[in-house]
Amino acid sequence: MRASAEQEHEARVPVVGTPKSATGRERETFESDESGRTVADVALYLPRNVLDLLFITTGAASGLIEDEQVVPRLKDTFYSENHEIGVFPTAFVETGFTPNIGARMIASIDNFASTLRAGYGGPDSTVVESRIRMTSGCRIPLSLSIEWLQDRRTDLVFMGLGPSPEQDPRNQFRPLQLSRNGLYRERRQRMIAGVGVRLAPDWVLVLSNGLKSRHVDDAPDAGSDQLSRVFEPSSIPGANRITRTVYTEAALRFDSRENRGAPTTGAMMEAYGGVYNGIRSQGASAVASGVRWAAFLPLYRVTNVISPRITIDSITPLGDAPLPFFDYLSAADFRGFDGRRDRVVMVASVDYRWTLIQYIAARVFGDATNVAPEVSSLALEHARYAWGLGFDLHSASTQIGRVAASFSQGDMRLFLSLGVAPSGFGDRQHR
Amino acid sequence: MKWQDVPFRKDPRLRSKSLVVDGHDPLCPGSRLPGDVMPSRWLAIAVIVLGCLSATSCVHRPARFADRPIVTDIADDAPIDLPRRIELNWDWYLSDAFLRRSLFDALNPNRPDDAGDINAVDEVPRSSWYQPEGAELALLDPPILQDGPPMLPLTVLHDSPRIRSDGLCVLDARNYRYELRRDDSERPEMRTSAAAIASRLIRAVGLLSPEVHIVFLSEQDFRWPTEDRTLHSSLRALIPPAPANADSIVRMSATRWPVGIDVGVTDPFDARDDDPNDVVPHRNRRTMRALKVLGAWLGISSINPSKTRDVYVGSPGYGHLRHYVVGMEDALGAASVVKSDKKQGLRTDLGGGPGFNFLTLGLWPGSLRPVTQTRWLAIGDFDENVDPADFTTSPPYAPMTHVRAADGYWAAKRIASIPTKTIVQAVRHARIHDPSAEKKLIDVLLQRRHAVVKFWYSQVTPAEMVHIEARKVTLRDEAISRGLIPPTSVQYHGEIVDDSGVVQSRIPRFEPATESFEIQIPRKVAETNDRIVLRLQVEVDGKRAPRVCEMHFRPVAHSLRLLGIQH
Repeated sequence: MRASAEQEHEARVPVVGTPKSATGRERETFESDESGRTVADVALYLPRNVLDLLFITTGAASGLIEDEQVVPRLKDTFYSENHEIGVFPTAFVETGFTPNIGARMIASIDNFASTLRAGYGGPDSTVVESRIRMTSGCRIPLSLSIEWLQDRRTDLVFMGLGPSPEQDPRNQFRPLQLSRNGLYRERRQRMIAGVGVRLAPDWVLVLSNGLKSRHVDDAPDAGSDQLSRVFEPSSIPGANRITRTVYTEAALRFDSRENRGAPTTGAMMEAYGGVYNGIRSQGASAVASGVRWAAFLPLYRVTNVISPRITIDSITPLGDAPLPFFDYLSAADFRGFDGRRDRVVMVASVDYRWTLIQYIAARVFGDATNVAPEVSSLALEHARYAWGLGFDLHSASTQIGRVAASFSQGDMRLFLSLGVAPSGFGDRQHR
Repeated sequence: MKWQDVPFRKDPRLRSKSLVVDGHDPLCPGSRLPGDVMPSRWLAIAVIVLGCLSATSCVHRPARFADRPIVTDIADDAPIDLPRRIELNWDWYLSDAFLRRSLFDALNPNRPDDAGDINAVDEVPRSSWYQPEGAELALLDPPILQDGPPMLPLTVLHDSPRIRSDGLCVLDARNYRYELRRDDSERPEMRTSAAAIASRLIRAVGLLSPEVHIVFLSEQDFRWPTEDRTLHSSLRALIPPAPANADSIVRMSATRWPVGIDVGVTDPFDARDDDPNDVVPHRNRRTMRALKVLGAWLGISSINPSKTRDVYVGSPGYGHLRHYVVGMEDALGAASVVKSDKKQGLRTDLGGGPGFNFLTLGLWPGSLRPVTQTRWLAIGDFDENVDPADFTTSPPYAPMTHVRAADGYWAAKRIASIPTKTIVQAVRHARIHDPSAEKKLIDVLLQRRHAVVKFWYSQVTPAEMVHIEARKVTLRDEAISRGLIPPTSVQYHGEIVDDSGVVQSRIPRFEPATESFEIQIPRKVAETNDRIVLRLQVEVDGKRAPRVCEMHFRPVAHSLRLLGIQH
């Protein structure tokens, strides 16, 4: 009884300990399966932590900040004391390309946000970009943005013009050349100023003006696949010189969906018109126009949505100056591989999204695309198809991340995106 | 020969077609790839690894506890500077919880760590997170040692509510700040009752929870210093205009918040880096892991970081943080109400679990989720059916995904220790006008408590120390003690091991006649070891408990001193 009385007495008197010493343990339990777990732990240590690091440095920083999101945990680590200006490391690794490392700065003060990023992956893989955005929540919501970009990319592919480049007389392949894909390097400088106005709850008017300077030449290490060794130089206007263009566009968008996160019913439409003006005498001018339409229809459950979409873009050269080959349109919305270019491009697709659990939806999709010199000559012949499936992570109001795989004619393409989704419509200025 | 010198090796397809067998290339005899290892070397490594594994795989070495008094209070209230405020970025949290943490955990074979905020006898000491005493004061009417309901008149504030985005912030006549919220018009009394009841029961468990009082207010009870249109519209949203010659009295919940300086949400994963008192990663805090058990009991379907907030109490530079569970308007099934199984002819359910939904494209009919009862509008989708094992939230909440059986058992013990009359009082404080709804809520809470406690008790060997007399240890089976299982269905067996896990004595199978039973430690074992561990495992109806209970002792003179307990 004595021991019991002592314990009761001890229980009544508070014993104060530090947070670290409270458990009283000098040694943890060693369970019988601990060895196996330790071996597995060692084996998985590297992939686990590389994944974690990649997520922090790459996914979160590049994805979320891309859209001027503020990231609390990273913010705590890398931000200035007043939490208004932050600097983040970035790292991009892509198979077949040299790793690209860099840094990104973001400033966010009230209705003003700015980002500056720089990356280096070798002499021909560099980027510096700055964006400034201001928003106003007054009676008519509007946002103003100014952007500047300078980058240098290499091993870009030009397959030729037309739905069947090998048979299209506009493409002049060099004799004795087996390859039909010319690789080129591009050095770009770009400035964009834009203003977006929400005219009504579902209507947005976007006016933008971009100045773009491009210098295209052969990819240095491409060997016999260099652009000028695949195509006759006279058939690829814009190559081996600097072209400067001003592109001015007005776009009217309608989106009746309640949000862009979970599968939701509604409709989207967009019509745009723009003018390319070549600077200096040899610069080409052109008119761009296009329409986009998508419907989001429920299927059996409110959380299942099937959405047919169609997009048609066109560019019509003005004057005598030939349009640079890289200004011809390609199927940017096509989720398979298709590098063909022409004056008209159409993408038709059907997406089916259904909610798996709260905040996660699955998606299957099928795309078809073709290019043509004119709208009237668009046909199913030589059309390319892709299908795929994936998963979307979304909040109550917007899409946050997407993992998807698409399959087209023996090729597979993986999509991984993190961060708030872009507008959902085509983006001409950033192409 | 370097492999780069062999052109065909650059083609990965050749390798994938198994042209290289056991390090030898049949197309290039005698060659060996860098990194290829002789089979015999692989064999040797495998033998060594397997040997090491087999040598240690059957060994269980108990923990070792320090021979010092059991800590009952944690000193985590040392003065600190005012920490920065952390608010939840929901988009970031979703990607972090669903992607980063899920992938990281999937690649981590280790068990979640044992709770880091417990003492040697597997209890949670008093701290800024857990204060078991004083919980009953929250249930007294009029309240003692509490601020009580707001005193009129109320001054409307410009501030945004902190706990939830809805509601209105006011200062009462004593300059105490409250957040006011009202019910949905379709389910009167439901959300306000849930907040009042759940906050009291959480406090009764010992966790910190703000005071929530049910109040009835009219427009005349408010005042504002200036004619501010925004404030007027906020107030108008809360209290609709009264008909002519009549007061419009509205029932609301008044949450006393913040009780200090609100510094934002409690990180569900890591400790705060600007609070030196906060050293245990939050995912390893038993007080936070307990939310899995509490959530199942109280029907809180939306446990996420917004449900836990930190408050700085004291003058800046002289205060410390306290950690609260907040936002209980969602509790008692209030966030899970199914209004209709069809919306414009379309089904509103998901059809099944995520895997099933994926395979069926969300088109399988499945069983419809029943529409929530409308007999008692003050009660949400909250009935006696609860599955404590499968209770989870979306997105995953780190402390809940790291919960261990001992954490659940501790939380269940705390819930079981709440007197029934306390639960009745908590429901009465919600001032539900329909007595049958009140009775129904009490019944459901008691039945759910029984189910939750029984489940978590079954996940461990629920033996508790009663006392030690000489070398005789008296223990109590908590499950029998609470009437969850009859003594006749229970059998115990065990062993006594030394500090390194070597068995010193076996305890043959026995049936405890009552909730209490005694175990005599053999004299020889006590005299020849300076530390001994009593390991007991219970079998209920022939089924062994997943966890063994360990009691750690130090023989002293002719008695034993308890050093630690692990469930």
